[in-house]
Amino acid sequence: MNCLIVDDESISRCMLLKMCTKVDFITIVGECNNATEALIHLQNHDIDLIFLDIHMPNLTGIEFVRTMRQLPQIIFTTSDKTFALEAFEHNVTDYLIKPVSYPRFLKAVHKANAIYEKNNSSPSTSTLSNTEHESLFLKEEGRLTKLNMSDILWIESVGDYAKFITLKEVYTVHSTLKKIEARLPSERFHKIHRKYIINLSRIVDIEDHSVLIKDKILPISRRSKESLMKKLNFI
Amino acid sequence: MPIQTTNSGANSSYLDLSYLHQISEGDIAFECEVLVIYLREVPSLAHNIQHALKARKYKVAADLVHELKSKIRVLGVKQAWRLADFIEVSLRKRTNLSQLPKKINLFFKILRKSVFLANTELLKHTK
Repeated sequence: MNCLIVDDESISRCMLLKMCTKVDFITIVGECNNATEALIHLQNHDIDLIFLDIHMPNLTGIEFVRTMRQLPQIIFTTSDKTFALEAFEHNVTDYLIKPVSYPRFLKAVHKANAIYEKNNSSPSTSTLSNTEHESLFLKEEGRLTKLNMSDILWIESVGDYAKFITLKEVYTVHSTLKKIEARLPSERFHKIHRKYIINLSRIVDIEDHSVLIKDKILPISRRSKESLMKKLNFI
Repeated sequence: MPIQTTNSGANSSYLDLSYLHQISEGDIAFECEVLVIYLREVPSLAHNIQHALKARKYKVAADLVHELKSKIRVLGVKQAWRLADFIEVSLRKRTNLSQLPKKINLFFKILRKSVFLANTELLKHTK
């Protein structure tokens, strides 16, 4: 799991980092000392879990989760118990009170990992591609629907779900973009943003950091732009 | 072996490294790193709190006290825990203002003692 530590207090970051290094399924990909920095980090990295402090200057941890439409898993780490109820209303994974004991920390990260594993488990994933990469099967509400790859316009991440936008229909499946991306032919599809995978053959035009597909403008992250351009056939 | 805390008895309420030992599991370099941060940041935060109080910037002072709370909890400065809570809440709500100067003076006195003890612990391992 790619994890981010967001806390304005240096010793708390240090302690969390130390505890994380003892857990083999955790990879710390960054530390931020405020929530604004975390927002920027999220735009450019795939983050599965955030350890998030609540009392931070400018943007609090609670405001951070309120403002984000789509979030990775959140474990609050705070010395303030008063926000626990609201925190769980935002569907956070856990709420840890500082100073965090190691057994309590372990319990929280194992819970997060179980959710992560469930979302990324292989056989039960909703997308099953055939060998020729011409079609795939989507498992939607217990029914397998065959979908021609060429009909897909783009795939959009919505919380724990992904929406396959096709010419005629929208299909919603329980899966992550990471998992779906691994099953799609990379020469035909490209992840342009943490929320979007596009069908390259459906691109109408590209301008700066956005792409037009059918009549929809989708954002391209700075990180993805370079790799996208390499896949395109230029004259 | 973790840093052996010799400040037993009365001093242990000014600095108790048992939590740090639990997390470090004998990693002395890590323990020293935390102590160095404490020694570097606590005096500076205390200075900034005094400055904010003089300027009557109570919210700023409360935020700084809150930041100190995480540090004193990790380093086991138990004498200061309740005081820090009281001071932070009083500053945010502008209550107990008459009691605050006395409480804040005591808070700083405890912090100074904890800094002295943290420095002593660190020196044992940097000699």
